Amino acid sequence: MKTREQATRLSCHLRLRYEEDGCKLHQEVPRQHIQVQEQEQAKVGTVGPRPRIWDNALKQVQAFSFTVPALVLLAIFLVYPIGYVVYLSFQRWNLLGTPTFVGLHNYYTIFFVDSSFLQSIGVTVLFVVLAVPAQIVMGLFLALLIERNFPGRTFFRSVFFIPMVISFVAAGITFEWMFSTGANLGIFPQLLADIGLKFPDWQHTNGFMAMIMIVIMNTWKVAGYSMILYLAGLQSISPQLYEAAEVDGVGNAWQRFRHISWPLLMPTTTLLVITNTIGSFQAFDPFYVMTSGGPSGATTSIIYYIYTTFATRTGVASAAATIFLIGVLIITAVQLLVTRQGELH
Amino acid sequence: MAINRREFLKRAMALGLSASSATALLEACGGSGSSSSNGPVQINLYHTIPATTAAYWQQVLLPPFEKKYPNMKLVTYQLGVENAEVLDTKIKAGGPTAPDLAWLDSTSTGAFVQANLLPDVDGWLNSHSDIKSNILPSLITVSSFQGKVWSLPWMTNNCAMQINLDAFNQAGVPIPSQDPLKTWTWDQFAEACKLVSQKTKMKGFLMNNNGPGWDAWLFSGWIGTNGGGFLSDSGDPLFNSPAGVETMTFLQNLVKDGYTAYSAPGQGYDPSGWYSQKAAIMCNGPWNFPDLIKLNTFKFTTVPFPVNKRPATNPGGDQLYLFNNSPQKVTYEFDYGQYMLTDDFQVKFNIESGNLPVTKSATANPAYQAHLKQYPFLYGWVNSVPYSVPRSSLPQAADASTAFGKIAWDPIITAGANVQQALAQAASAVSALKQ
Repeated sequence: MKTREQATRLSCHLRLRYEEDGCKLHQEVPRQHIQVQEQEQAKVGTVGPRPRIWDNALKQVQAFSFTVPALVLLAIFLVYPIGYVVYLSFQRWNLLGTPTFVGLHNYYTIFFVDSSFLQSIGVTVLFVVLAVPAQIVMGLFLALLIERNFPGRTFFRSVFFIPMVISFVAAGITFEWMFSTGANLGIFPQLLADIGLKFPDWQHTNGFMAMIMIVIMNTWKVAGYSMILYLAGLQSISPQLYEAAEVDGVGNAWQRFRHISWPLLMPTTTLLVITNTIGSFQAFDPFYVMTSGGPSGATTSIIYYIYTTFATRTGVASAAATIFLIGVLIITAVQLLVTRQGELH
Repeated sequence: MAINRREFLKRAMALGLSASSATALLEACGGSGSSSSNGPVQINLYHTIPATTAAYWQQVLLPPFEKKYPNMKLVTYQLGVENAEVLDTKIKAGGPTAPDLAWLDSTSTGAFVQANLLPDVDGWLNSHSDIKSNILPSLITVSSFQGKVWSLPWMTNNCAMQINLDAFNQAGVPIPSQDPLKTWTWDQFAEACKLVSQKTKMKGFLMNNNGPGWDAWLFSGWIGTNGGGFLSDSGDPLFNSPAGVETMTFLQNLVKDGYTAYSAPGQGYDPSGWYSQKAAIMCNGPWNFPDLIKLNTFKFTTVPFPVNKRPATNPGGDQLYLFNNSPQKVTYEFDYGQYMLTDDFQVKFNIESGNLPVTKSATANPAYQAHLKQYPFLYGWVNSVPYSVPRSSLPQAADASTAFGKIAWDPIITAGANVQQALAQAASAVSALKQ
């Protein structure tokens, strides 16, 4: 049992630690102030200082209580829906009636019975492989284009960013109409037809071309986002670096870009790769609006597959959604790991 | 025990935040409030009736019914898109706006029956034999599942061939009869497509694609004229039969020979390619009536499906589904159903919408007959009704259509796939859907 003096000595050293980006602030309550407090408490007959564990526990509870509202929202809108989807992946259900437990039957169905799911994985991966580099390259190209000051720069910056503001549905419908290869040709196929050329029939026979058209529309729509980030990145590079490089003999624009701009833009590029990859995996609107998943399932992405399956085979769609979630988590973890290793290196 | 003021305020705020969050969560998880026990009984009717028809229905046809039943309040909701999934979500959500009545096609019957959502419509019809005997027999079949009637037909339609008479005349193609027993054959249809494609600037036929539900529905009409079917009562695929192979081969040859133009993908029902005279023949339904009566760029008519073995068509239309939410509501729901099957309602609604009446007496009604005489192109659809080949009401019917469309129809029609192989693959996928 500690004596009062020992307790006083221990409790008088109050340290409040705040860690913020490597900075630590220590605050010690003067020993005299604590001793005065103890004497006052002794006068009114209060009990001695409580044990440290109880104090810490109370503080933990207080801190936790302030996070409860956010945790509640997280639980309602994230944890519960994910948990429910995982639960449904083991059920047979069609939104009506009561779900029936079927074990791993739905997972067996999507991997070994319904070839559409595996096809949709391939479609999604293909889209990501095509779309992400396209978005980044186009964004970087546009940023380099408007980086320098020239008349009308602000106008062009707005023009390149405007597609971000338009909805995917409006953009998809417009693209589909402009490039239609149905009975009523779109404006571009019609122009080609007028000069004796034929636009690839991406809507009916050419599945790969359908994917290309979706990637083109998607890139046009979202490149502005990459452009803005790259623009910020380019403008944060000190001009002195370029001056120093020029002194060292790095003369032409390509060398300046390759040896200075591109390495210093790596954090921006990393961010864009991660966010664009996640976004591309979740793409739905372009596939729904432009091709309805066709021709012959050539543009049926995982999300589109889930959408078309959910109402009548809810369990199967939930199994597909669970697999998709795990896949995206793994890919994101790998990307972060590679990024962190690159930074350490 | 003394607690300093700052500590007290911190703990009070923490407790208050926690308590209010918990209360909000409990409130959100609770029910959405009970319905009032006083006042008229609210009946929620969900529909996707096109806007102009819906306005006529609500302003002209509903008021007499509402006046007759003052203790009932009929609240109508426009679903926007005819999509059973949206309605299923509304049903599952429940609450005071849960569907009591719904306008929906017949393919949802099996799913509703298995979920035990529907009242005994069969019993009600049997106790109203005059009403039952007046309904067109083919529509009793459409309304049935496993031998019992589960819904009431609201309006019916089907598909027929809309033909550009100017193109036919220019190409020297004889106009087929509107009598399904005397109408054109498959060979005559192919010949018409060929002549139109060679002698006019149009293609012969507007070929639907990439719309699994629509494609399967049209195919059921085609295979019906070849003596076959799409899906058996037990869910086995019938489309991969010799009749199905022959049908798909016939259609594929039309495409390969260059006698067809593709519709926009997933929009086989969109008549714009036919309106703009890209193709002389299109398979479509009478719901386009409001636009057809304004069409003045070329002359047209409709004729039944070309026949190979027997006349056939693919019946569509919409049913009135009654939901078993409470005995009191069900009584009012049947009252609405009974009103909906009167001649007055059937004639007026279908003259306005262009669809077809579901009862014999409404079809024979002088006002409706005068309407047909005024618009003789409607006979192509009307005359085909007795030869309807009903589509399946099994719960997996929608998925079967999707599988057929994606695995068989699209590859065969747009990619020239081997017909037997594609149909066999689709049949395998459909067989796997059997529960």
